[in-house]
Amino acid sequence: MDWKTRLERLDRRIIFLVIFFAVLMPLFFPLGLSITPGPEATAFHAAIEALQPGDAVYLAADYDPGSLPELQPMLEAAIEQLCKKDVRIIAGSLWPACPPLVNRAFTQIAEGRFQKVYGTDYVNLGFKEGREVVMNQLGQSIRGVYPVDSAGAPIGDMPVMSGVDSYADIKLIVNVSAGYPGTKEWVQQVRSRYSIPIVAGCTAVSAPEYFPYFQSGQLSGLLGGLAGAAEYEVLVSGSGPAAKKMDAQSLGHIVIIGFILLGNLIYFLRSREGSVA
Amino acid sequence: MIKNRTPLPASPSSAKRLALSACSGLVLFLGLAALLATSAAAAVPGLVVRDNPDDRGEAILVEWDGEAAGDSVRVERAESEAGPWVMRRALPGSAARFVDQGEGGPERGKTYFYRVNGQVLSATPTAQWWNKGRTNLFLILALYLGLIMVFLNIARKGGSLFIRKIAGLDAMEEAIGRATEMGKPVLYVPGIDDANNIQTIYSMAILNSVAKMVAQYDTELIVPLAKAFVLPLAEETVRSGYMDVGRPDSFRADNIRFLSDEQFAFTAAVNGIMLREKPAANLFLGSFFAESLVLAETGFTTGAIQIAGTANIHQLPFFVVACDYTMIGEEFFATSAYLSREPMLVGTLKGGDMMKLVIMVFLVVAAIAATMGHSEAFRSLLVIR
Amino acid sequence: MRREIPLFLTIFFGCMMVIGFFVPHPIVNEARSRVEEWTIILAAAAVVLGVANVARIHMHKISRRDRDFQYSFPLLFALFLMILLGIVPKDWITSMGFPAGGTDEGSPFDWLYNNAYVPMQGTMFALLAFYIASAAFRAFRIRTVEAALLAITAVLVMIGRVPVGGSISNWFNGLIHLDLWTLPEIQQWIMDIPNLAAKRAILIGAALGAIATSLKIILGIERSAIGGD
Repeated sequence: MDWKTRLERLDRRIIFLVIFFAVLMPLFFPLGLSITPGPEATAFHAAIEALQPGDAVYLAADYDPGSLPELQPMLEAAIEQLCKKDVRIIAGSLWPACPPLVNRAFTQIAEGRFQKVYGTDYVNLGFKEGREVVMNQLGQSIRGVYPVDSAGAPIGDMPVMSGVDSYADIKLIVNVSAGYPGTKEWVQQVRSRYSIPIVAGCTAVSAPEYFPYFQSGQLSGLLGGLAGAAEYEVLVSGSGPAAKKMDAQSLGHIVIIGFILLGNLIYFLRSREGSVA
Repeated sequence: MIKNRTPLPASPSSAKRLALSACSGLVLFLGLAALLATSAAAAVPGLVVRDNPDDRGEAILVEWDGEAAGDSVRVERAESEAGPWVMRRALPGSAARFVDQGEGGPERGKTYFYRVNGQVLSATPTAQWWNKGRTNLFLILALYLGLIMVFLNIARKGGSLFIRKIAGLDAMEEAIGRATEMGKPVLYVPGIDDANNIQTIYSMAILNSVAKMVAQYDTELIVPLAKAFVLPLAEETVRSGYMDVGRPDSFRADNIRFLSDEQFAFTAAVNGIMLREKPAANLFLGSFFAESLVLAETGFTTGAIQIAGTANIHQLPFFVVACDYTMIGEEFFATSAYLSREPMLVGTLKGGDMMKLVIMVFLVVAAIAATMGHSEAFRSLLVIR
Repeated sequence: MRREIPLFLTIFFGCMMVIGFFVPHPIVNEARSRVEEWTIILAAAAVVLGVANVARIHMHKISRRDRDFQYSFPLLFALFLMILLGIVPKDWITSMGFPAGGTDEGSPFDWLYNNAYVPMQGTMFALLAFYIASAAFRAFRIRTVEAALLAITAVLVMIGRVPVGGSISNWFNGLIHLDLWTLPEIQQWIMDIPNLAAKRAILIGAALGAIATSLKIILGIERSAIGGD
């Protein structure tokens, strides 16, 4: 077997190994590439910046641990900016595995760094089954859908809920989503029906689908994947976990491009030999 | 229902009081002028208080001229003109509107008085029977339904309606035939969405056709599911497919498997099925997300014929690179009509095509108008509240 | 009746939801709201149904000694363990010496969530990177002009989306002393103009297909989805 044939039939495991090291190395030896926020991340940041102290925000966290590396940095940065703005955060989830991730972010950021108080400054309502129906029902009454929070405590007496019972009392929806139900459903079910501004963070793979919503103004801001999270972190605090991982992603992309070029080089050489039909 | 009550200016001093000295007259005049000046500064230009339109009657809309208003606007509310007044919101003058609703908002049918920077107006919230802000959407829907009905009628009367070739659907029977020859099962994944997603429901319609083909060939059909709600639907669909071709005994309920609600637990389980049971044909038809490439690549390594179809456009590139055939967007929704060639279904498909033509014409006209600087008229036509 | 009743329910509830969208009056709105509440209850009940199905299939598999039946044991064990840890009273778990019960932070459920569930999910998602690399190596062959365009666009977007794209552009512009479009700008243009145009076209087609299908089901033209012809 000549070298061209060997390369042509390259074992997938070799590709996997190269990708593995390309992603791993920058985590130990950072390249320190600079990150410039794009228009979508800047708009996301500006939408939260426009809030007034005391305003209420609904934080719709719709993902699971599978997309944690991409989406958790977005959630944490958003909580950080919301805490800096001194707004009240009401978090809910339509994905069953998400509430512990929201709790984790609240504990680290809201409580740990900003000394915010649970029940007064923020609340985690937890998971509710029902998808789009829940989105609509929240427009009628948040307390009707969530009489208790994720730990079973009644939310009616919590100061964070004072004067808040539907979208009419919410200034902004911050959605962090990995799929269905997620950004698309929030736009379709809530944005058009209740005219409430929404900003969204989503996985890189689904971001292109939401660009039309951003361009049409149905989304006031959009973060796509780790790159979007890193850009947003730069705006909120200058750096963060996503920004640190961007070196790894950069090198990963370069390796994939390298494989595309290699595949084409072999194809080109084979074509010249006339062995490729 | 609008009731405006504009406060009257303070009564001028009586001219008959000739006894007043010129000095006291001057003082009064200056005082009055100062009072009027204060009122003019606090008054909100263009203030209107009215029932919030197109809602269930639990909101009142307060509007003013945002450009001419002062720095701040205080909105207070009372149930009688005499008060007591409850502070509802303090807003910057540029906000131009405030909808009083939600927590502590007005009750339907009750009259409320609003004091906006001292100016008092009243309104009563009422429920509407029609949301005028959505009439445009209703008309578009009615037009679409009308077109579907017209083509349905044509189809019923035996008119010939052409459907272009969709390679993926032509390959479906071939893929099932190949699985039969090899004595291996057919894997049908109806996406990972729930039963309320139209793609999942439609996938059930295709599953029905696939079940009939599979039952005729007497091949095993495995249907892994990611949502419990889809389970009875899928069971019933496959069972009826087997019954329709007279082979109810071949139906195996254990092959309709709910695996997990979790995206990647489900993906891992389907990968396991592909690697252990080695289906010869993998059909991915429904709503897919990040698992699409993982599934399709695993299927590729097992050497199965793979046919995919989804309306989740962000997953199409992954299916295109890893599957033999991919149906994009509306091709997926054409499957049932294409496979059955039933006039009723073909008719609705043609109605959809015609609606697309209408949209295309509208888009071209709107694009020309926007280029000429007349985009606002078209935009206002499409605003949905 | 087996097919008429589901058909009637589909038409009735489908029409109710459509009418509810256009009629805000409380008489319609509250009925619609009530139906939505039923949906939440039904969806929750369906989870129980799903668990019962998983248990049934794997118990059958074990009792019949089907191929790979051994794997069903850890599956059933994990399934019932997580259910038990989630539903037993918190006091019982804390009385066994654990710092918390239920699904609270520090509970065994939380420990398993963080140390088993999170890494397993992350691993599955991370597989995407490897699969994308191998699929790109195989699929992006420049066989035609269209394939060349696809591959070039993919490379530009991939490199332009990450910081290294900006660094390369800045270095190159500095080298030739010109202010050419940077890779992130080219990427942004591709995403905003050609990508969005194509996406919108597919989106409109798919949305029309979805509406037509919904109408067909609501009006009873398409019946195979509810188990009938």
